[in-house]
This record gives sequence, structure tokens and C-alpha cells, in this order.
Amino acid sequence: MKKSRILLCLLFMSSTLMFGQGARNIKINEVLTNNTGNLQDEFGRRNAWVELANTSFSSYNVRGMYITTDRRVLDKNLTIPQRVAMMSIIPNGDARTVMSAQDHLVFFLNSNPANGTLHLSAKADPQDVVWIALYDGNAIDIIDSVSVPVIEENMSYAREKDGASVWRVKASDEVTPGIKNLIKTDETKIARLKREDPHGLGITVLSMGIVFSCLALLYVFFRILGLFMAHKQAIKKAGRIQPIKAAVKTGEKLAETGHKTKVILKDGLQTAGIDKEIYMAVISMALKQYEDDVHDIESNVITIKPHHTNWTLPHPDEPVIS
Amino acid sequence: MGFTDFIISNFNEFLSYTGFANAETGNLIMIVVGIFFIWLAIKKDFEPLLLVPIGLGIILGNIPFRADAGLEIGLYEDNSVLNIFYQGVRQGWYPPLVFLGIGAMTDFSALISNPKLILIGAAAQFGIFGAYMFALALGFEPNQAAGIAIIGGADGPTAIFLSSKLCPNLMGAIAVCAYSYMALVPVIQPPLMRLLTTKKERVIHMKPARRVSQTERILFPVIGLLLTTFIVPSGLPLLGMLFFGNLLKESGKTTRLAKTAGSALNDVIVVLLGLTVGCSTQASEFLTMKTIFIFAVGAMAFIIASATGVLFVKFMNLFLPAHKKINPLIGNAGVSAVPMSARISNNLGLEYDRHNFLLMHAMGPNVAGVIGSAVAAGTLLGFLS
Repeated sequence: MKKSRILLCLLFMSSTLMFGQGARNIKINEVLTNNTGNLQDEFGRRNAWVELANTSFSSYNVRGMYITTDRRVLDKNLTIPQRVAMMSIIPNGDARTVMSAQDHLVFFLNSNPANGTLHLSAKADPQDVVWIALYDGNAIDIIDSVSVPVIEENMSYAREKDGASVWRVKASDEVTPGIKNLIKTDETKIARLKREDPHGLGITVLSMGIVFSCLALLYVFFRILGLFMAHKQAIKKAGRIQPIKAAVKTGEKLAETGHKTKVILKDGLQTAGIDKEIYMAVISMALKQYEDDVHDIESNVITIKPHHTNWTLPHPDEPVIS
Repeated sequence: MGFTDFIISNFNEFLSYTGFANAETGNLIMIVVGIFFIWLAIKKDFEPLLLVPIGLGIILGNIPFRADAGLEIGLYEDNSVLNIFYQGVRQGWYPPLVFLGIGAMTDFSALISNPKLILIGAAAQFGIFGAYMFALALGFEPNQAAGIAIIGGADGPTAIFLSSKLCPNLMGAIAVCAYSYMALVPVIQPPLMRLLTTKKERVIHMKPARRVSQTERILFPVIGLLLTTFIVPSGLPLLGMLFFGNLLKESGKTTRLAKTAGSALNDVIVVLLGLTVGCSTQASEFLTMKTIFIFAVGAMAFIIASATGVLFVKFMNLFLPAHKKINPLIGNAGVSAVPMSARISNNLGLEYDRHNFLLMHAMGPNVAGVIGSAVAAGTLLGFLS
């Protein structure tokens, strides 16, 4: 019963952790509050926007999560309906809310949710510091938040690169809605390797070093463990031979002395501590021996009966000597 | 249109779908190669468990058909049955499952009882990196060179895993090459071993291995997993499954799971892996100069790996006291190819001294080679992916 309870608790804890882990990979990645010449929505309007990024390597559906710019939700005494009233929900039923690995999704703020899934009513005043938070579907757990300073129009406030903890103000020509914040345009890893290590010597030395270190660590560990185990076995063996034997002997001696004392106390000193039952057993054994020693009358003829086994049986091809 | 015209036109269309109408010389050559593999496996007993599925897979992958018919039957056509099977290779989840089986079948006691044998498994991995340099010299891109060089690890699943990640278009040729050379280990290794050892060295008797406790056998997969994957996390799929399988075996409480992982599950995966790898050797991809180069680099990788294993033992012997010397004939077993290369060590040892049984000693570097090649694959994946 206890075991099954522990197991259930562990399962519950691991499932909770896994749930949190999935949601926590969704980050607020870039925010633009003063939009006059940047991204347009499908109706040609330019609203403030917030970009979410899935920093994991698995897809995650952000439906049912909340985005808010209202700091009052931080009050822990609020009821859930009160909190929900201050937040904008990301609606259900739109495939675009499934963010694949390393994907980005832009939501328009100051908009009308009736215009589409990506339109939220959360307010973002370009003339004021805007606090934006992403809440999990329970409207209690805060997944991510950021305070966006007042910045010039068409400039954004973004993480240095996707998921990084450092934020910076990006110039209007650097704003990257819906794509990675840091786009690498330098040569690929393979091209660099080809240029810097054309003969493969560097990779060979490094890789052999790594393989050797890994296996050498295993060697060191099991060498030490082997010595320890051998030492432990030796101690165990010595213990089995010496102290245990002595302890058993002492125990036996103690039990014998105790028994003798008990007999003397019960039947007197003349018994010398020997139990009456022992006398009876000795007499019985003597009688039995006497009875057994009474021989039959012998015929004085010695008879040896042949006894054959598979080893002593004559071979069928051999001539029978009789 | 009359009935006769209808029959004739449909019959002509049917003919255009047949293999005879779509056959190319390349397909026919590959079918012959497939038949040759099956013959090798059945008649010559060369790795039959692998070469039979691969051989039939080669035939299956080279049956000509009209590619524009949209029949969804080809290996590279989305949603075809073969394509679904092929995803296990393409996405790299067959090799870790094979490693699970290997872990569940492998007894690491020989290694634990004499841990210095682990280092032989590490040294033999030089075959991979020597071949990497050789492949670069032949003009392969670094990712392709790494995919080809892993043949030197003499470990089919590792070769398939790495090549499917780094150079999927060469994977078929690499896998076939790896398994072919593994089947040829009894031909490649003995002459090298004789060449690199003296008569005196070949008759070195090694001390019998000590008895390994269950605690040590349980600790090995746990510690092995932690030490190797903390250093090379990119080897996690292979190493994780290898040590997981071994823990199932050694825990003493999950015998049923270990039995399934090492028998039924492993057999299913080997069948699918062999078949789809064979299918991926389509003539257009396989019959190129690159394939010849791959076979050349593969041979080089095997030779370097076996030689470095033997030479490393000789090097170790320089520092070991007389009563602890290692027989260099077990050095070749560092190339993995479990248990074939260990058996070769044993056979060669018996050839020179009929009382010198090296099998259990050779199993040490042999299983260390499996770990070493998985670590090497993880390292290359980390550098080149």
C-alpha cells in the first residue's frame, strides 16, 4: 500500500513537471509597442505586437494560454474569473497556435479578438512602460514576462537571441517579427571545418582525446571499485573465519554452563550438572549395543556373490569364460 | 472504342508499369549484387542474420517500376509501406533499439574484472579517425568523411546512425560496406595480427579474470552511462540504450524485459533494419565512383583499427610487469564486431598454444570497442552536425 502510494506520488510529480516543462519553453521573444511603419495585420492596420518563440525542439500548442498587460493580475488574492477578465486568451481551434520546434508566432495587441486568432485586446501604450506577461492555461502560473521601456517608433525590444536572458532595443531595420532574433549569415560549421582543418588532423586529435578520456575515466573508476571490492571481500572472508568462529564457540560454552547450573539447581550437586536424561540415554545405548552384538550361529562358509555393473559386465563380443 | 481496342490499350498500359519496361542496367547489376549477398550469407555463412535481409532488401529496392505512376510503393515515396519502415533508419531509431538488444545480451564482466582492457577499445577507434583523414584526402566533404570513417568502428548500427544524420544519401553504401567488412573480419584480421606480433608475444598467458560481484555489474551501466554521456551527450541515443539494456540484464529483477530486448525485439529490428538498408541501395545512388571510394576507405578503416588495437597492447606491455602482460592477439578485438573479432583472437591464440584460451580476455576490449565506437560517433556528430 505504501509502495503504491509512493509510486503514485512520483508519477504525479513527474507528470506535473513535464507539463510545466512544455509550457516554459514558450517565451516572449520580441515586442514592438510603437508601430507606425512596421508589420501590418491582414486588414492593413499597424498595431503593437508581441512575438512568442518556442525555444524547444518539440511542438507545443499555445491555445488557452493568456497574454496580459495588466499588472493587477499579480495580486494573488484575485479569483480566477477576476484574473481571466484582465487577460486576453489565445483562442482554441486554429492550427496556427501549434508552434513547431523553434517556431515563432506574432500576436497583435490593442486589437479586436473578433478579427482573428492572432488579435488580442490587451492594451499597450507606446508612451508608457508596458509590462507584458504570458500566463499558463490555469491563469495562475506565469510563464514569462517583460517590461518594455518607452522606445522610439518602429523599434522593438527583443531578446539578444531566441530564449536568451539579455534584452536589447533593436533599431527599426533590425526588427525581426516571426523569425529568429539573431540570424547567422556566417559560414556553416562544415565549411569552417573544411577551411580550418582541411586534413582532419585537428578533429582526429580532439576526438581521439575525447574517446580516450571517456574510456580512461571508466577505467579509473572501475579500477578503484575493483580494488575496493577485493578489499571488502577479503574483510568479509577474514570475518567469516575468525571472529564468527570465536563468537560461536563462546556462545556454545555459555549455553553449556547455563544448562549445567540449571541441572545442579534442580537435582542437586551430586549430579555434577549432568542431566538425568543423559544417564538414561547412555544406559539405553549400552543395552542396544549388547543386543546387537549377540551373533547368530555361523555356517563357516564364505560366499561371494558376483555383482555386475555396466563397468564390470563382459563385452557382448568377448568370449564368455565360465 | 471497341472492346479489342480497350483490351489492347489497357494491356499496353499495364506493360508500361512492369519491371521489364522500366528496367535499367543499374537495377539489374544491383539485383545480381543482392543475390550474391544472399549466396554469401547462406552458402558461406558470412553474417547470415544481416546479409540475408540486406541482400533481399537490395533486390527489393531495385525492382524497377514507373516512378511517375504514384503507386506509393517506393522506399522514397511518402506514406508507402517501405517508406514507413525506412523512417526507422532515416530518423535513426532502429540503431538505438539494436543497441538496447546488444546491451541486454552483453556480459561486461570481462571488462570490469580487468578494466585496463577498456583502453584497448579506445585505441582501436583510431581506425575511425585515420579513415576520416583518408576520406578527406579523397575529396569527401567533412560530414561525408565522418559518415564513411565510422565504418572503422566495425559496428553496423553505429555506422547507420551516424551516416543517417550526417550524409543520408551515402547511408546505404556505408551500411553495406560496414556489414561486408564485418563479415570479412576473419579474412582481414589474422594476417595483420601475425604480421604485428612475435611468436613469443602470441603465447603470453593471461591471468584468469577475477569473479565480478553483482554490485559491480549493476554499477557498470549506471556509471558508464553517466561518465560517457556527460562528456559526449550527442552519443546519448546509442549509449543510453546500450547501458539501459545492460541494466535490465544485470539488475536481476527485470530478466523478462532483458530477454525480450535481447531476443524478440532485437530480431524484429534487425529484420526491418537489414531490409530497409538494403532497399536504400538503389542503383542510381549506389553505382557511383563514391561507392568504390567508400569501400576503399572502409577497408583502410578496418586495417588501421585492427592494427592500432594490436600495437597499443604492445605499447601497454612495455609498462606492465612480466606476470601482468597482455597477449597482443586480443588487440584486434578492440574494433568491436562482437563477438567475431574476439573469436579470432581465441582461435589464433589456440593455434600457437592449444592451452591458451583468450576468448574471455578478448571479450573485454571487444565490448569496450562497442562503447568506444558509440562515443566516437557521438563526438563526430557533435563536431559535424
